[in-house]
Amino acid sequence: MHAVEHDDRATARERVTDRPIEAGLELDQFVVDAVSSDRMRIMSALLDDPTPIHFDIRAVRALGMGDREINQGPMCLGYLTELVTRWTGDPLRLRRLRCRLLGNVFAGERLACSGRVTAVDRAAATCELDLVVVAGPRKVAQGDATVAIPSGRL
Amino acid sequence: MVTAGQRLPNGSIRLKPHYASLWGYCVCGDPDAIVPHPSIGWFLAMRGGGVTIDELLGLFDVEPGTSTVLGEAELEFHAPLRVGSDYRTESTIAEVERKVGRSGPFDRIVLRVDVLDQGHAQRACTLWNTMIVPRPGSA
Repeated sequence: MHAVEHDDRATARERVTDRPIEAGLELDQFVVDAVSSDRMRIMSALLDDPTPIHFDIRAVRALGMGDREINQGPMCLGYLTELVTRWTGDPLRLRRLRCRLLGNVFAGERLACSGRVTAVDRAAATCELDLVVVAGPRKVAQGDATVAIPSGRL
Repeated sequence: MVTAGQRLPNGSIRLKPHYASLWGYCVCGDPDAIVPHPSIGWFLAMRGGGVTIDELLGLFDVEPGTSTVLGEAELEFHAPLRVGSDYRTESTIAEVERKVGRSGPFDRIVLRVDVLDQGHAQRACTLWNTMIVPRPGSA
């Protein structure tokens, strides 16, 4: 399995283009080095979401949920989407993606996104996806995706 | 009483360049990408919905401060998302069910939102957003 840091996008695209797409193929792993509280604050502003657990440690402590900001759930959807689109090299090939959230992600945690192809037909590949907090490890999300396969890739 | 199939007010949103850039940055994508990050479909559906999350939960008599969480999200893509496009959203309560888990009773509410590209007169994506609402003390 290849690990791909999140600033290594172009290299990842070059690597996947020459591998045949078949069931069992593992997607290049995508790692979020440390979940950023700054990005949580930006996301709160984007979503106009005043929920304090995403930007106020005091609120997290008061609720007995720990002592670090808690990531927004849609961020996990975003990470798994990023995993798949890095693999395909083209976001427009993504047809469908489902993300089921299993647990909280806290600021500073290192995440690993992984996936594997489970089925292939003439036009599309289906992948199962996992999002894991590396320390533990602790699975915090899982999902699946369908991507269009470019002609000549089977 | 809100039931499955109930339509909610339509909404609208323009996919502004800074929305696309900041969303891409937040999810560790490319903030400078010409094609917006596909997961921004979630943002268009929910931020562009005709009701806010609080208004939606109010329809289900959810008390303010209840720790509602996102349980699952599924996006289906029908056409490319485009920066600068104007979108209309059409929302429907797709499912409502009372369940009992390890932490007690909860409601599972699935909201379906169709995001339509108004300039291109086509459906761009559909979101199924599943929210989990604790119902302590309920049967």
